[in-house]
Amino acid sequence: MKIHVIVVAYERMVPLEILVKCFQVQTNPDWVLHIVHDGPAPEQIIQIMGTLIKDSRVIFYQSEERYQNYGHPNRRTMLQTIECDAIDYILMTNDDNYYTPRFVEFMFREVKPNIGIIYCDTVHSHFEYTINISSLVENGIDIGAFIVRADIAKMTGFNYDHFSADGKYAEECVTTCTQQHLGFVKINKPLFIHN
Amino acid sequence: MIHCICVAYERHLQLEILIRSFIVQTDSRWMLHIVYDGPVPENILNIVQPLMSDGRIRFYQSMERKQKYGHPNRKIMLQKIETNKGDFILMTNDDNYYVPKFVEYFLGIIKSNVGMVYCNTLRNFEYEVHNSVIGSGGIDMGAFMVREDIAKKTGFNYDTVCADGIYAHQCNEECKKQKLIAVKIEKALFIHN
Repeated sequence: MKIHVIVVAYERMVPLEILVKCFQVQTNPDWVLHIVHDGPAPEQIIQIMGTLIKDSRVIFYQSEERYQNYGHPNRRTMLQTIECDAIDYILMTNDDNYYTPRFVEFMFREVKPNIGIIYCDTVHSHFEYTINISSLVENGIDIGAFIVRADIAKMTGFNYDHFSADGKYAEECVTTCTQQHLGFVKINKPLFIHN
Repeated sequence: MIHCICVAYERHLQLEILIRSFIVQTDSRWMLHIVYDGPVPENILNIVQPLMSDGRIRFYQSMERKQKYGHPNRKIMLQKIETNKGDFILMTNDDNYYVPKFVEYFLGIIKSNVGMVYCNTLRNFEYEVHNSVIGSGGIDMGAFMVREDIAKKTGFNYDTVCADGIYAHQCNEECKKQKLIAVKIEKALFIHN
């Protein structure tokens, strides 16, 4: 069982390095980073990724053209094409976010056969770095604060391109979970820092 | 300017995160003084050397490993560090990191009567937000900065596990003597790991 992290990236080299290292220092090593640069990546990022992908858990892709729309088109494509087991989980995030070193450990503690979504609170830049208490509705949760069981995520799809499409995706995953008789678990800790 | 004294030992990935969390600060008025506890291994040197092309990052090593939570190196750096009037001093560890607006928020609140600035902490003890209080056991080392003249006058005087809180308390007492205040920012700007 792994967490597959789909990271959309665009030109922010140093924050992306921080994000990758935030995963490399996780206390639980069962994660894979799938980094998708929106359009051809600048030479500087390609050079850095050349070093980072020596860790086989870090995979780097570039889309043929720049799609913008908050990275959502690349999220959609990656969610469709990513290879994973049904019991794996999918996390989507941005290149400038941070995670605490026990994020994966805490998330996996809550995994049970009847759980489809696990989510946590966020230290959120949009709220002046106070704690955003997450809820699984549009505008209630940030993309980087929840993991979805892979079969549920793929069945749901990432279907919108607007600003709060992340919350919409969370809402739709909830609907799919309900249809599949799966529940949700909230971890009342801000394990994720949105910048 | 914030002078950040960071004690380090062996954790190269964590140190890289800390350094980069300063490089991406929205306010560029900071300097990192990294002190390695004892002779530096090759892998750390390889990582730090390229980063030192940023003139705000300085790297030192102590002749021998002193341990004691890095406190002896803090004590020495606090005595030796060259600062300008009105600068502030922050002390931290190599496995912590800061949100990108940490320096902006901290320097944004400075007035002539401010001797200390502190914030809340997202703390590794189960990753809950710790409500910082100045005093022994009430605040982590990386969550407060002290005006350089107050910090140097106070000194870093203990080597115990809670020496950071005692240092905070003693700095606060020195501030009171000088009729300076401590200002709290009610945000979790610092992640203690």
